Amino acid sequence: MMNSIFTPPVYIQRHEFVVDFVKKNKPKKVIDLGCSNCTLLRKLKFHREIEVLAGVDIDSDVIRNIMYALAPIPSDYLQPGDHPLTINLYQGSVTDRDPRTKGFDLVTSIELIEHLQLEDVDMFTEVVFGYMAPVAAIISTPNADFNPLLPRLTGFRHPQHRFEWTKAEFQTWALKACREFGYVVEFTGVGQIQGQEESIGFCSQIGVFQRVRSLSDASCRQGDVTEERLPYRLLYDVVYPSLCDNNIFHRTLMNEVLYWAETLRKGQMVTAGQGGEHTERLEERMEREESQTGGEQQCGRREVNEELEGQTTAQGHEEPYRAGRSVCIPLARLWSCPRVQALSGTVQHLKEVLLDDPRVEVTEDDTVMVLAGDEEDDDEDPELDENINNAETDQSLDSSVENKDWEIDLG
Amino acid sequence: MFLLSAREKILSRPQWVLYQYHVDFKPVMESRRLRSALLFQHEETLGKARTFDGAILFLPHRLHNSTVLYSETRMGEKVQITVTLTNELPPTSPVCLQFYNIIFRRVLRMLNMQQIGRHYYNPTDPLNIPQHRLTIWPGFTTTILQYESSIMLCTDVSHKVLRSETVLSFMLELRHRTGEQGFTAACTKELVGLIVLTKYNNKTYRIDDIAWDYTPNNTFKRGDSEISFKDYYKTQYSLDISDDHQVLLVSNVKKAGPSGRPPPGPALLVPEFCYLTGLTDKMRADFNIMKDLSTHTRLTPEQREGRLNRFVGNIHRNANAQAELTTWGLNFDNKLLSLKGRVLPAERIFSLALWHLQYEYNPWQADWSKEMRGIPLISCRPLENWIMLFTPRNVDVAQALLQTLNRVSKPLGIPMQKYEDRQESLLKALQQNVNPATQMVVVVLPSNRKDKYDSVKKYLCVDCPTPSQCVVARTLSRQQALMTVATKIALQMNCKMGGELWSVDIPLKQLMIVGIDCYHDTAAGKRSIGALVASLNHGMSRWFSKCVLQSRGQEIMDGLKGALQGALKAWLKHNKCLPSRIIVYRDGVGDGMLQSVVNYEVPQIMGCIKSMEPKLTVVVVKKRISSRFFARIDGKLTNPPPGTCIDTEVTRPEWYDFFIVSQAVRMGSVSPTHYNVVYDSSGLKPDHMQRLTYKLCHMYYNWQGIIRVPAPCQYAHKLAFLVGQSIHREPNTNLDDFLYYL
Repeated sequence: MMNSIFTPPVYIQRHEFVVDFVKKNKPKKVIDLGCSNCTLLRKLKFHREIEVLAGVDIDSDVIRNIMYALAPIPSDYLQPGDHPLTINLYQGSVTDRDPRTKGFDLVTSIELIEHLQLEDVDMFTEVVFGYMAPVAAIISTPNADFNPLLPRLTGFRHPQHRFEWTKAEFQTWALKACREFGYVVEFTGVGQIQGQEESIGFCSQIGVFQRVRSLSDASCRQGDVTEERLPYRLLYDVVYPSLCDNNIFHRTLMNEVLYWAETLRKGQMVTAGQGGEHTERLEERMEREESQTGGEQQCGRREVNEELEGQTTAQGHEEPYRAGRSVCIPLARLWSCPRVQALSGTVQHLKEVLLDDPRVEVTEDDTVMVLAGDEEDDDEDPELDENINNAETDQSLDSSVENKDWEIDLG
Repeated sequence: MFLLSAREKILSRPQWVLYQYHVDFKPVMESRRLRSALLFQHEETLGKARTFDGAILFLPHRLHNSTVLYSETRMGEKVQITVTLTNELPPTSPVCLQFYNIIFRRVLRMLNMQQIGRHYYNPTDPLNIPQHRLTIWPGFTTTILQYESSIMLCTDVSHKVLRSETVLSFMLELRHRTGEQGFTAACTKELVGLIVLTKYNNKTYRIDDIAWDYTPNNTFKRGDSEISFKDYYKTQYSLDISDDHQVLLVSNVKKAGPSGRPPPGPALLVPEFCYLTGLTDKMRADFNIMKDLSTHTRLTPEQREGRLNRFVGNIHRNANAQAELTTWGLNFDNKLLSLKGRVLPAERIFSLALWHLQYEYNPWQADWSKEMRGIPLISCRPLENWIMLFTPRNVDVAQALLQTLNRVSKPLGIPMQKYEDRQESLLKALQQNVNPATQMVVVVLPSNRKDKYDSVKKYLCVDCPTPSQCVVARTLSRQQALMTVATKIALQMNCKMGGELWSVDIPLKQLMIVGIDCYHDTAAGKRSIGALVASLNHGMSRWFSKCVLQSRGQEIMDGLKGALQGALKAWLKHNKCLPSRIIVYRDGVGDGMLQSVVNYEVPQIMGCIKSMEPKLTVVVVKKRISSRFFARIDGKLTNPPPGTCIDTEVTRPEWYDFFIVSQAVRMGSVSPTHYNVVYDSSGLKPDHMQRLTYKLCHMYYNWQGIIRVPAPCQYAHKLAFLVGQSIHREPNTNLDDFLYYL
């Protein structure tokens, strides 16, 4: 009913409101109270500035049914993000204090409080602003003043609503909370009908709270979880693959290094016969890749580049060469590959990673030797069936049995 | 022989029944999600274990015959829900099996495995081949099916090849290589048919086309308004498109829309947000890539068993997974199924038509290249008029080849005479030198560049039908291998001209064996190529081969009917009579196509031969199966020996089917071949059917050993592949009686 009045539907507008806030304020830790089937969390997980995403709902079944939708997807593994991301889903009541809900940058409570008993609202206020004490909170609830504009509505918008506040009631509650816990609030909302009276406000009213006092470190950090009572039940806990994981970082960087080493090696082989043409093409390719790696690292890189400038000129711009079946690439040349640069940050860091990997060796004059595997350059002949595999085992079986004529058998 | 099969028995509670209900909503509720939410308000009635797809509800227990429930929507609308029992399903019913598979998928997801396509993979411990930007995820295939004795979970290790680069970077690099001119064609050829993963959801799409005139700035209709792709991904997934000029990919979504509406039409995908999966044809043809891959993915029987046992153990240890299974009263064995198999007798290889010269091979090696040294072949074609072509750079290897051919050919009985040396461009050289009297053309190719090979084959298979032998110079450059290579080439040339190498005893008279396979040309024109190969003599040493090209959507048998009639004519010419029994081995049948073989192809074949009323058997041959068997020999887990035949327990009750492990592998685990006799009026005993099949696996002349499928299937495969990959036209009929495509 409401969804047909507003475009986009008002629940989407509410989520978009949160998403816009997240884009602007870039909170690192976000918790959604009353996450239900996690629609908002599923949107927020695409905002990779967020490092911890949590959801709480009283109904464990609704979470269990949907929680795997928050799992990483294959591409999260194929191109791990720069930032870590952990998603936790809890079953619990927003009137309980759980230490794991402390220290968030943003608490959202979208169309939740109207489901609480009125007498529990104070408790909720206490828990959110006094105990969780986030940097910011977004709290939305139906605006009762708007109800007359909704066709065919009698009573509350939903049978499970315990109350629906007018603008004045909501603002009174919010301002009281601000006074008590040291927040400032800004009132806004989503869902308006063309030509409606402005004073009625929005279909959903929203309070955006910002903490005024900065809390002492001790109380804003997540408490020592093992010591305290944990009333919430952890239902889902997933860590997204990210470059902050040392193993993943190492693997991703080495993959890039080995890929470029191979590409440079191939280039070498071609160049031998054709002059410098191929190397030029390589440079272009690197540049192309650079333009794709996204803007974020761009600014950081320029500085490092300058730092590197001295090194390259000192040594001259060396080209890769072959030593036996290994390929030797000057560290600086490898460093000039944009992806390698973006991943490792500094030449020193790159070198450290390379020193750790058995597949390469770094010589004293900063040359990276990519050790050749057992492979030989082998071409398959199109006409010789080499691929029908046969075995070498030295066991024997019963020798063959005489074949009699089966026709006789058939009668 | 005791074998282990990669299967676990499913144990369900005795007398377990799955209850199927139909659920009606009044008033009608459009949204499937809403229907679920409304129904699940009644947990106290339904219980926790339930599966509901929006209309059909499955419960492990019985409700009253008809239950009426009342729910309320968020808007306060009252809804009456009627739940009616429609079926009680025993565990063996197809619906129940399907249901088991659904439950099992849930369980796999609980183990944090990633679903790609139909299987589940473990992304946390990838194998990387950075040189090619390939990532391999280990995983498992699982299917629950009813087998002879019980319901079983069939598992196998599977690997998914993924590419850690986007389609966009692939396209850019390709354009760089080909230049603007050839880009469109090359791009279509490389990409169409590949499966991509998207960055924003967990779906896979098949690239069906490329929308050359669409970029992310184009708009589509979303709700009532138009939105550009760029803005859509920005608002929906907070993803920025960096390249505004990339063209979009088209995927024809086959799946029906929400609540049974027709498919929503083609999906347009942004290359920047798509990752490639699998291998391109070009990578498949790259020997180095394939070698790298196989070293990563090839597992010995012991490694394989270890992985499967760990997998099953993980399921047993995972609390959530166990809870899910228990709710449905399900469990499965924690060890692989033990069963018995037989080993078919090893064959004797006959070398002369008189059958007095015969030799045996080591059954474990399944190879007789050593044994046949120095033994004359059944028949040799004299080589009197032939030419060899090579480039000036390859003078040395060509000389060496000629010398070695002369050395090996004496005991083989191939007389050799003059050859001509030409240096002009290949095609020109062919046109000027090959005449109708030329028996054989040998071409030493400087590299394995496909275009050169293709032009040789096109010219000599279609325009100027002459047997030809191509060899890459590199193959000849290894001195120590030259004898072996030259021997192989000499044998191959002999076969191509109609020579016969060896035979096995076939204890059936007037028998014609037919092999059918097809090749699907996914990229160019989407044509299918069907190939039919039929035996011409009792020793299975002469074959009639025919290949037809068909447009998309046409049934493969439509074109092959004529080929079968041609084969019968050729048989009549060779034998002065018609065959009294015909056995057709049909390869290249996809998973879902079995029924169409039975319903459509069998009657077509019968239509062809009905006037002669021979006994007919049609066998569907399947190589790509996830069944594996291991043998326990002296306490060690190994591959079963060649000739192992399994026709109990793991076969299907409704089919006449069996497995044969015919080849031996040097590394990794051997794959059995599955044979399914879908039509049979021969009266042959199953044992004879199995042994005949095994015998035919000995008869592929391009391999001096036992292969995975009956020889006519491999011949048909080879022919279809040559035509599909290189010739693209129907070969000249003058070549029908020769194995010119080897």
